[in-house]
Amino acid sequence: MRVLFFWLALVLLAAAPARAGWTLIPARQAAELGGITITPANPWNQASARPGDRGVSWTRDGFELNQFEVFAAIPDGMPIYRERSRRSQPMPKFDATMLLPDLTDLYERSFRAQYGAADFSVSEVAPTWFGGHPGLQIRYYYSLPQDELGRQGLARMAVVKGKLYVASYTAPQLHYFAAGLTEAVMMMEGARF
Amino acid sequence: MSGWRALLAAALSVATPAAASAADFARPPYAGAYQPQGTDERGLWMELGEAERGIREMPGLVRDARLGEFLRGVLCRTVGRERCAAVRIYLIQDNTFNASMAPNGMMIVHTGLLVRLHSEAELAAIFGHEFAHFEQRHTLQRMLNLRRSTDIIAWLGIAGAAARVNTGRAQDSIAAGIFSFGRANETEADLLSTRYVCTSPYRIRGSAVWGRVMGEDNADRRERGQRKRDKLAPDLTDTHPTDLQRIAFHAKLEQEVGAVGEDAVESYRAATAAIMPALLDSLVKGVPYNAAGYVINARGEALGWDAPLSFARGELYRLRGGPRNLATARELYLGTTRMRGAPPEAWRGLGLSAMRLGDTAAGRAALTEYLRRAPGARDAATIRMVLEN
Repeated sequence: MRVLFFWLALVLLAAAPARAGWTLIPARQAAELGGITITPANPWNQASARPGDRGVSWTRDGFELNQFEVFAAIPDGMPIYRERSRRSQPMPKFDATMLLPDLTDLYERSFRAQYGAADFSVSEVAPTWFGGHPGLQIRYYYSLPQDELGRQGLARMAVVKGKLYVASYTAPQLHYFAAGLTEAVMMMEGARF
Repeated sequence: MSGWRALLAAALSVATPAAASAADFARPPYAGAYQPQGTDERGLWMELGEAERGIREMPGLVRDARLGEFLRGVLCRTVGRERCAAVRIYLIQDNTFNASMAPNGMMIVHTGLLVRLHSEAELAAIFGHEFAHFEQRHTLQRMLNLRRSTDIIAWLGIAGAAARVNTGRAQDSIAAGIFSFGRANETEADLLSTRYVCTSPYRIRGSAVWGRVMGEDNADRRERGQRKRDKLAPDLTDTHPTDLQRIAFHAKLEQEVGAVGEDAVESYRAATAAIMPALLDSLVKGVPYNAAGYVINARGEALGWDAPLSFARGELYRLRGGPRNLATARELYLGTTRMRGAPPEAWRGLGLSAMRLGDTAAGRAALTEYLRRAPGARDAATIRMVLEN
């Protein structure tokens, strides 16, 4: 009987759906994210599933409504988002010889491949500071397939000692983007690496 | 004979349609748009109506009245005024080579289709195929067939368990029948599409379209390290005939019909000229390199290299990166800057690729020229920063 219970427990365990893990990122405490430090003004939730080998994803109300992604110290030859399979989802790679304007194209190609964005249009590319280093800010609009919501994003990127640092904030244009923009910009401006 | 041609010849012998006469290509009489019958069908129509309302609000919907009129004009010339009155066309931003039609008359055309086609005649081949699915009510038939087949599979399973008889093989055969039903629908739509196009002002061009679908797929597979797809016959679970079968099927029909009708290449080029740079940009940034390269090269070889196309080719090489690709990109940008109607971004690409290759002086000169030509460019401040440093 014990053996039967053991096998039954094993089968039930194997059949249980994988649980998405979440870690609370407390407000006003510096979060060290593998080479970059971010201090949020409000609490955020960090998903256990990482978007890239060097990245983490945060959300306040669920990824459909707001998402803050951070990627630290991506070396030459590595993609921003994880390349799950070279065959089914090839990802563009960062090249340390890229100039600042090239980063816009790298980000757009990477974002389109990761999220399958049906359309993506950059509205502004401007020099800025990121983590105390000269960098680039991109504002963009996009939509996802079969989705009726227009979405907006803002990303900052900088290359320091040949390594790429990226932070991005995305949300639906309707209410959420504007609602979280100030805090997202503050987190980007307060980032240190 | 090359391997590809040998395969095509073999496919021709497998997939040849029955010998056709002129009467076979006449446009069949039209009974009007089908009205849903019964609760299930009315429910489906209601769901489709809801989906259509969503599409009208989609941010990716292209709201270009002139382009919309052009698409409608090609559809009406292909299937006739009476038939086309039942259709509402929605052009949506999507890089894939696709179009679809719902049983309620909603046709969705992807922008990725427009960038891959070269003439109104090719567009007519696609529109004819999609309208044929609509007229033959294939979506509805497939839904009913799926329900009927899965019901039988379920009852067979229960009966088999009760009688202690293994019904697995019978169930597998019925499941395979669901897919073969879908393939038969596709072939029927191809044939009916030919009848529409033959009675329209257009030349039938299905083999060119399917040849390009297959060419792009194989280019993409090469990049991903996968085997190219050159099946002569479909697998049990394929929903469509194989590309080679379709090419052979259309080539045979085109041979029988002869060189009748117009391609309307120039009118297609003129109607899509305004949107083409945006479509090429989306292609270059949203489609794997080899597949995008195939589409651009096929277009250049068929229609000639104009400034937007040559620029897109340069962008593709620059985005791939690496010294060899950057050198090729630089040459392509340089060629583009000498063309009539060269976009200012060609100087941007020229400058960035020259700088990454170490030719700073030439790079600075090209970027300065870019800013002179497009002082209000969205990345002007960033380019100035590059120049200052």
